[in-house]
Amino acid sequence: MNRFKYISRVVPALGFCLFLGTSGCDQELDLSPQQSIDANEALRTSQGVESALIGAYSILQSGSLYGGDLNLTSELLGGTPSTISWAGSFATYRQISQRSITAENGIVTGTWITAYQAINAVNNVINAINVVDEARRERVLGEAHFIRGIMYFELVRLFGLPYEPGQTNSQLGVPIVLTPTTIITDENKVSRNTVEEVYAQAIADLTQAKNLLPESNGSRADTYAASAFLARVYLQQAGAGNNAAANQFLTKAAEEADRVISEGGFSLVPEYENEFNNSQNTSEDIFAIQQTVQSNAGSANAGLATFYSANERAEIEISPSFVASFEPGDERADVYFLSEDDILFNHKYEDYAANIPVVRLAEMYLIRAEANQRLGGAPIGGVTPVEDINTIRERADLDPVASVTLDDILRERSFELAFEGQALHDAKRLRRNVANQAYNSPRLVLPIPLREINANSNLVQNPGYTG
Amino acid sequence: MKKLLLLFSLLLSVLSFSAFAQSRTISGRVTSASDGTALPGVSVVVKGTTTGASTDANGRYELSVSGTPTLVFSFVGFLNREVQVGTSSTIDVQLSEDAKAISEVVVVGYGTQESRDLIGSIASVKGEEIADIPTPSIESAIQGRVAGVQITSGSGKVGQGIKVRVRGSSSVTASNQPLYVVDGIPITSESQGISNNEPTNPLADLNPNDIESIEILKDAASAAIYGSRASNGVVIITTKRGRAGKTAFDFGYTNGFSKPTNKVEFMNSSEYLELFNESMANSGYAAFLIDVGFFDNLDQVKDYFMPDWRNPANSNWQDEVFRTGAYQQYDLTASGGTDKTRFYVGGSYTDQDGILKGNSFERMSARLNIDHNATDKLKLGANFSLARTVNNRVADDNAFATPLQIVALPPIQPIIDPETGEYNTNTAYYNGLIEIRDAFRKSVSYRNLSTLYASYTIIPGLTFRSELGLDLLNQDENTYQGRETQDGAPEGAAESRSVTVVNYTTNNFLNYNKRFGEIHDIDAVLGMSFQKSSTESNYVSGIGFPSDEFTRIANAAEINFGSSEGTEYSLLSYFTRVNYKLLDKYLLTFSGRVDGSSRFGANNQYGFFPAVGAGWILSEEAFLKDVEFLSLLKLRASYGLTGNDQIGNFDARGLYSSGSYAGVPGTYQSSVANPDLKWESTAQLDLGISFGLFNNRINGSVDLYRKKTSDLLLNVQVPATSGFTTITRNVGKLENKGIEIALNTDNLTGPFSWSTNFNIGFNRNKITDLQGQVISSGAINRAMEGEPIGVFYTVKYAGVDPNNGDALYYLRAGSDETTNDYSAAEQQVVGNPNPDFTGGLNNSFSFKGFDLSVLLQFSYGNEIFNNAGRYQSANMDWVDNQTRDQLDRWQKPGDITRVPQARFGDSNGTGNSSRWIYDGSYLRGKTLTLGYTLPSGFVSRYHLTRVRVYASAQNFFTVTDYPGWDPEVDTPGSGPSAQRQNVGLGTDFYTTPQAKTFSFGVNIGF
Repeated sequence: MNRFKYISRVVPALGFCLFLGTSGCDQELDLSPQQSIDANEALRTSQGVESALIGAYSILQSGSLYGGDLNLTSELLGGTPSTISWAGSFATYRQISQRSITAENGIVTGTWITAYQAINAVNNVINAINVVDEARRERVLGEAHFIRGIMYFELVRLFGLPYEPGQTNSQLGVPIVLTPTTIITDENKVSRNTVEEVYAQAIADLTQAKNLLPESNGSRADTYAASAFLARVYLQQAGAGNNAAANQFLTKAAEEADRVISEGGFSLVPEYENEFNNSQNTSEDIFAIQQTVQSNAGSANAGLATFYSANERAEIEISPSFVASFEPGDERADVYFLSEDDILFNHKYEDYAANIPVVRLAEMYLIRAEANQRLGGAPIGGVTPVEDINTIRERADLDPVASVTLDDILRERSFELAFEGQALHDAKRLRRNVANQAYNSPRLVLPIPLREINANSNLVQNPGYTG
Repeated sequence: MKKLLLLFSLLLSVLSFSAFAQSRTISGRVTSASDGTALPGVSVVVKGTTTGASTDANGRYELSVSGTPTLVFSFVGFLNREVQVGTSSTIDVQLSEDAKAISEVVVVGYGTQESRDLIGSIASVKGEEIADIPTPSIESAIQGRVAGVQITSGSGKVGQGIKVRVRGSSSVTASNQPLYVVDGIPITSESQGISNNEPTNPLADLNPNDIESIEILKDAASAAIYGSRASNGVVIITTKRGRAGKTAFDFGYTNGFSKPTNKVEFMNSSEYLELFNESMANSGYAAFLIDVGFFDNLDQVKDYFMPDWRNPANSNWQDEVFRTGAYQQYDLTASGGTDKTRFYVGGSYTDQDGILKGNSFERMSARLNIDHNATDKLKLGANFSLARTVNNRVADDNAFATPLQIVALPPIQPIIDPETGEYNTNTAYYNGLIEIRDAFRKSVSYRNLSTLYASYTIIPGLTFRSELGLDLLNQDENTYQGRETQDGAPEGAAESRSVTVVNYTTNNFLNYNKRFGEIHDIDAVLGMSFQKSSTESNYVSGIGFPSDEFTRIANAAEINFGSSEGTEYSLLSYFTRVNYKLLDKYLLTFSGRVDGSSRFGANNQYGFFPAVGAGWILSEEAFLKDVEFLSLLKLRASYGLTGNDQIGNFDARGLYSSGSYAGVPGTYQSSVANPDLKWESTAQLDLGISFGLFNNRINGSVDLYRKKTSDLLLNVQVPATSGFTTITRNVGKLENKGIEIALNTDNLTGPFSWSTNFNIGFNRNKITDLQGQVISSGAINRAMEGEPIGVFYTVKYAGVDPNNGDALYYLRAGSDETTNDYSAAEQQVVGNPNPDFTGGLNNSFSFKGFDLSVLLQFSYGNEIFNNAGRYQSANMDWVDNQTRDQLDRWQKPGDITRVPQARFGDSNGTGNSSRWIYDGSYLRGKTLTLGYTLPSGFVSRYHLTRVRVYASAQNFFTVTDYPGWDPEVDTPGSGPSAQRQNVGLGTDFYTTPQAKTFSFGVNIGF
């Protein structure tokens, strides 16, 4: 064996990586995680993007959003001891119920963080929409816009001062982020947009969702879910006034509500209490969070059942005077019952693994009735407010009424939708005081979380909060 | 890369060489010129070739040569001698000792070096120093033997992980354990256990008796060639190899027993009752319970909390969980070979029962190391080792099931329930004896550590070496907790986990070694390395077993959790080192490594880790050459960069994880890409002096170092509007600085010899920048700017108010003002778990056939927080049995004591505070060995070459003021993360003391 022949084999072996460039060896450093997949890989296929959309729904389910705190924050901050009280140990919820929130409040922080996680998730879906199979592309895009729209709507009404119809609404809302985050740079230090801009974004997203989504979409968002949320958004924008500006929003709210009622094929569940604690969507559910034993908002420290149910932590007590204010025979009062300790609890969220209705048909009747009542003239949809209210009353096993006032409609609304997350937003929109706080009091607006102010010097804190 | 591996294997399997020449055999004997004794292991080489042999135990060699070449005889510590071969076939040679050499060759990264020429700071421990020491793994055997290396066994549980800190902690969140390299191959050394048990120790798979030497690379000049993994130091372990000569057999047997180093004095039954009754009488809580009508009188309160007070037993619970441990080890090795093929083969069996019931360690291991000279130029070799270890483990210290939490049980409660005759189940807390009886946590690991190598001399001085190493670790862990155990109730619970770690490495490098004209010496290495490690694990747990005889998951009524995971990382590296020596006195070294790691972010995928060093052997200078007593005086300086790559395997990547919604699988983005993420970086300066006096009878070294670590990995908050809340960034800084002194003296030589080795290391750690963050870990430890890592941070205890027995606390840091309101007292830095200095002192004596060595080991200035103090030394605030020192409680106005008045349930002085911080300094008799080697004339009659009997003692005494079990304590906590290990230091929590072991053994050579 010749020495040079030997060298000619050995040296290239060594030199393979040393001298001949590193491209071949570089690949050996390119390993893939196994329980996770690289973000670059995740959204390369239609299946991948659709899975990411499912992931966004699971974020909506979290205890910080529809699984819990979007409801609880609204009910505790917008409630008074005459309806609801916090009897639990968590100081965070206590601060909210006392309307003296600090910027460190973990519930507020959690809602902010999780809502933006949902937004980032759907921004990824929207950004990658072109890889989705054409047959499903519109639906997927529609759902993504739906989720983004409802998140901006929830954020702006919690973290911004109320919308004033007919004005510029330059008060600060929340930052609008429409592109997915791939890396973190200084560009992620976004500023707050105005309330006007955030509402416009929510409406744009929901309108797109309405146009893209099919008539029915299993338990996920369909075109009527988008309409139902649009009805809510417009109603929120209308405020309490009866002027041209408000009427413009009321008209749109009534139209969207009417579309759901007349075209959506939904129907009220015959028994009021059967609308809650179901494992499947009911005929009344327009959009509901789907929970199972495996996927839910929690059973120990988070989730609606955890706090409301007498069988769980039982930390939210319902006022006897509120339950006493129902008309005799109103079946809707039956969802509140006494525990062994003679305390009233709300049993709409009894089972941590049951669905959580987010928007349901009864609310559409109430929106159409309220808007038509306030607008006067020929009712949109051709159904009078009194007819709509009687539809609601009959299901509650109450006698129909011959006529209604706006106050009657709003009272009906407060019974029908009690503790479903409307309290704070209804108070603000109807310009009602909450305890001694005016509807536009800074104390009814959540603080921008302190951790967020610390991480982003471009954010301006809300009035009344330090840090 | 794959091609490279292919080529490499071709190289090993296909290439064959044949040497042809007319040869004859030369033989002879090599002896020492000074005393005429045989010199084994002398290298005999035909000059200008690599043909050679080594002398056997009797100094004999045999070599086949052609022509009349020159033979070069070389041996460490002796002057080389060249002899021209004439016609004679017998050449006997005498070698003279080299007075100027510190007689050592040390193993360095990708090579060896004479210690005289070293610039870097390397501590070396020879295999014989740690042979037959009854510890499962090597780290505890080197404790106290090397300066600047702090080794802490967290507890006396056998087979558990051990902390090794080389020149302090250089990280807050990433691992601080050194890199372990065995025969050139970095091995898997992280714990692989179920997280709620004690961490496992993959190093325990190595048989310490197979080890030839351990080198610890401490400074940048020596360690930087290991690049991004060298910041915590590098431990190079070299296993034994065969030498040419008659096959030597060695048999070793050791048998011993062990006991806890210490037991803590707890109150006996009558003392307990006295304090319990007093505590109840003083109790505001008891009075309240009576006031509100729960109870009618104090006796009813006592009945409720401790019904046994009416019929007290007298139990010593502590004694129930300890036992006399047993130790035995058998070793049989054979080594030898010819000048062409040498081998070392060894088998070993170790069985160690710990001092805690239920805790044991067993290892069977085998090793075969082979070297073969295929031709003058080509050497091939292989190391194979297989080990099976069985570790019966116990729950971690935090679990009620951990054996030593049994001391919380009141002595007035009986151990055996008189009604059932079984273990008492009506104890104040879980009776851990039930756990010992009805539960097991058995971990079985199989370890294969194998290396193949080929080395080829291309031209004289230039060698190419290729190594392929495989470290295969398979560990199966099965646990079962019976139906009467706390966590196994009501019908039993079992877990099963298996993990396989496949870790392979290839090193390919050129070594060039040449002397030019007696002036310039060059020793250079250039090469590449590729390593990949893959971990696969499966876990399943089940509950509901028909009876406690059924313990496998297959018997479970319900499989309640299952998972399967995998992860991997790879490292592609290029390295070089150039040592240059001018005129045998001026030394320069440059080394560097480029590490590309799959863990690093895309923008920093490759890191460069250079180091430079210079040395000056002053004693070679003309002006010192004539100084008779000076054998060596060398100044050394080095500076370089190293890294710590212990970040998560995929932390730099944006990742999607899986979830589900309404039964439909979905994905969500769990992390955002972090392309800048990289290693933590340490810049180290080392200034050293090495010296030898009086023919090296006194030698030693002093090193000063400063390690500045930057780019510490910390979680940094980012705007949540991005969809993410934190990202790991390289932003923090810390530093270590210190001094190390090693001093070795041969006090007496001759028939009665006495030598001493002393080492001491002072290290000061300081965190300089955490971006304002405070990282809490352990019970009261913190990492905070301006303080050493892991300082104790809590309320400062101010003793007892002599007037009323209230516990007092200092209100504010730096103020003498006290308060009895615990919540009003400010938290402050109240202690430091890091020692001021650590070290050891070893004395060895020999006389005729007797040998005696005594190793003392010490740690000074470190403090210990007894986190169990608030239960066990808390003036009987609750039902827990108390340490006897609590009898010194305040009883009447005017009493001056540190123990507040006993008030049941009133929390008088029970909040976490400096009350339970103690000086943890200690001096320990670490190892004592007394041996006697039978006269060779006597044993040779029985065809034996050597017979030595010995007795040895481990941890045979401890001097400390620490009132707990043992001052060498560092509870790993549950779920031991790197951060917990780094920050949560010096904490005792019902932690098992170290074992005091006495053993007797015999070594027989034949």
